[in-house]
Amino acid sequence: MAAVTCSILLRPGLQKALPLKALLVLYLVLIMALGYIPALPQTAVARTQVATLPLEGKVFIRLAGRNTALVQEERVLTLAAGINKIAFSWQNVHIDPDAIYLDTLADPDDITLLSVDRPPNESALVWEIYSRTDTEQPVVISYLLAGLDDLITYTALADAKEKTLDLDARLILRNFSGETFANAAFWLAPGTVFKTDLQHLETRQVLFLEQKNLPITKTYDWDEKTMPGDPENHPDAPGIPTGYKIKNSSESGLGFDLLPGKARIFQENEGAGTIFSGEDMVPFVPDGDTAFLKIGNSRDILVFKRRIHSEQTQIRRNEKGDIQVFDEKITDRFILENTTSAPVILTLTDRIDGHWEPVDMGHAYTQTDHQTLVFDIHLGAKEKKTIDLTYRVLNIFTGTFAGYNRVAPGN
Amino acid sequence: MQHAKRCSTHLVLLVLILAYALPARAGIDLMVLSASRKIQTTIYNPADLTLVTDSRILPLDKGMNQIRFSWANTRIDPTSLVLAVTDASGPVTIEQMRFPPDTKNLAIWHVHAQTPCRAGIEISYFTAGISWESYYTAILSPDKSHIRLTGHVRLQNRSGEDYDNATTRLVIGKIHLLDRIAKLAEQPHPHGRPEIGGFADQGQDAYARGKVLLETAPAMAMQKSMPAEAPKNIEKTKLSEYFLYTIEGTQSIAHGWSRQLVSFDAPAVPVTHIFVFDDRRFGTQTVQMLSFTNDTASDLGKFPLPGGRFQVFHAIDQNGGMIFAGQDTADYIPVEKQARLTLGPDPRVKVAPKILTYAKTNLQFNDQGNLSGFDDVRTMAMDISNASDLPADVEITRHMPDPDFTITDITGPGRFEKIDQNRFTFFVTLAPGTTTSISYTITTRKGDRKWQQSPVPSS
Repeated sequence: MAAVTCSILLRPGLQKALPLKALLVLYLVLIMALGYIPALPQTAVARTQVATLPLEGKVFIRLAGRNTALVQEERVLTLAAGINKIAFSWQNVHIDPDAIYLDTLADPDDITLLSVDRPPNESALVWEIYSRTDTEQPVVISYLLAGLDDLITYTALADAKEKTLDLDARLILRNFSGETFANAAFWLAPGTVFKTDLQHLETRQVLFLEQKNLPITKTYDWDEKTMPGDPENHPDAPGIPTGYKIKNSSESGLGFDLLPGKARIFQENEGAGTIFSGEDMVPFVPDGDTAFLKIGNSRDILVFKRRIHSEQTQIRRNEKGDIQVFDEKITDRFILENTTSAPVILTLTDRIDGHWEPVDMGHAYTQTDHQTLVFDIHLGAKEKKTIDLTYRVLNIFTGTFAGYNRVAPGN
Repeated sequence: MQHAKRCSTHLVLLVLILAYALPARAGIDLMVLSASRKIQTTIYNPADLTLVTDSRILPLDKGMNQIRFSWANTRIDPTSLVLAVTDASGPVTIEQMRFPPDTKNLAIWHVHAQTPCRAGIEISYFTAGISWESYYTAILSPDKSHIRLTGHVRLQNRSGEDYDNATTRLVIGKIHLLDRIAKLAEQPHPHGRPEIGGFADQGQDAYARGKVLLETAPAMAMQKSMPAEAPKNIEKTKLSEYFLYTIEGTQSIAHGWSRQLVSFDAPAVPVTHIFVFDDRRFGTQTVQMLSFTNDTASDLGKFPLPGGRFQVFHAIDQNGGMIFAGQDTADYIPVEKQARLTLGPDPRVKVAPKILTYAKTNLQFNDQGNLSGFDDVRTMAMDISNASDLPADVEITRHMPDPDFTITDITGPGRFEKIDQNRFTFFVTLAPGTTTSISYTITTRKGDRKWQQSPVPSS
């Protein structure tokens, strides 16, 4: 980026180029400071007042999880009694010109914003403000600034036995806005405000959450939607996804909304430092929900699904003898094996589509919707277990209505 | 601010008096003309059309007078030029108007005065390039129960002409137009020309030349405005099918500049926060909407609100601190009608619909024993949670591809409403940090079952 300068209007016809770190220029010209308009009589020029550059005040950056930052600057304007014109201009920054606001915080009878004018082809606007008296007036100038945003990243460190986890959260500030901020207050959420410097092209990381010993539950999740039923004959069998479940509650040490962000997960290696276990995206997790951090895929827990029996019953035919409707009794077998030397909890998700009824499901399960069955299965060390699911699919159609054998989502 | 010199656009009114009957004629004092000039602009939205009326007092000599009007490098529609004599101290007749062939963008009226007199005239015309738009700022109170709603109007002048101290009116309403004014303004001949085969279309060249002229015209600095101690009042009046905003006093807007004025300021407009789940419109996310009504209870309701962009902020303290909550564009909001501003997805309020059970019942067979119809019966459940810190009014709209359905066994809080034959909506309010569930049974008749209004025994 080229060196940036900005011009401060001192008086008509005299401009000074100054190298400034801030790119936003705010200058105040009293009502008669219109002599630079050639159309006006020369008498107006003589009444031009020297501009007063408002002192820099506090700067607040409101991030609020959006891609656009709301910048709020507190300034003190020196206003003369009567109508004042305040010019606000910017260069080399991207500001939404339709979202620039001046709030005087004063009694409307004392200070009144009359109009806002925008010149052609310039990044500037002019506020016309009426002041009842000569005064120094604090104001807040707000604008939406592009190129300044925030990310959340998490670092999780599980203990060697994978029973607890230390969780850190960091705010990543990325400033490519063209503006440099000194000692600005960054507002992330209610109660989360911190001050820092942030230069243009700078990325800054701030630790804002440090929680030790969060209880976790390691789970293995097998889902028929993504996992092969016969992994030994599947060349790209990925293994069973595994990770940690964390309850977001005050009892567990959290109890506030977790914002979306990338998590890198490490594990202590009992006296030999730590190892990197994997990384995952944390979605928005409201207080009370459970977060799941996937660390990878396990090849030590084996799941096989095999259909061992099917039988058509209740067959109905038309006058030509063609089958119209029938039922089918099915038995699916799950063969589960834990090859590790520690007990595990396997969450097995299976689906049965269509109109069906259970016959003998072989294990307790939770039915989360019409087709989804979730089994929480305890597998001891080196344990192998077999579960048979027997169920009956009813009213299977042929011909014209065969498309209705699969349940369309919705409604 | 740069010094700027306007050289590409100008509007000149000259009066030449050709008293054919008399060898000598009086000259016209242009300064006198300017001093008595009154301009009114009536700006339409969304049509790119502004009606300009330019009123002056002219001294006319006995005999034929020529009034010359030129508009080079502006966007004036020459077909709309009208000269009217509004007041004259003697008999005055407008004989004719001509567009001379050797001079572009020039009209000449021939005005006959029986005696020397002073005449009030009014020249009116349409021009393109002047526009206005509404937009709004809504600042949510810290408890989010109210907004301070401020309406703004912004005038934009890209007409190629400066309008100084003009009375300005803004029209809300859709007018019927046969031609675009901007297109008429670009015609190389004021009223076009007869079609003659074999000639190239010169209109595009003229347009391109005009466009370059307009785009390269240096901007003029801001004009001095009249001192005032309060924002300009904008009076709103109903006129036929239109609403008219009349800005107090006069405005000076140079070509290329825009001016923004406060249209109204309602300090405490009650709002409700509605979370809408509609997978056809928004997918699986719940979208937060901010709703208010244009009525007197909201300190509004005196006039319709023109369509425009709303920017919504949330005040978080008493010192002007606020956060950006979102923005949306709303259409025209009539009096007494509710407006909804879409602020975007909110992950804190979730709706998770699912099919709890599914069955095929009432199978029908025709005389040949073929399956001819059945009932698709599903029990639905919707788990709804509110992780926000405010009560949430949730609207859940479901779409049915087939209208042959009935809904029974509705359980859970809130209200059910069938919108049309394919849509129905549940309305439920959740306290902060709570969850609830709604369930219902939906039966859809397939095949021949569509024609049977009463259940039949299952086969």
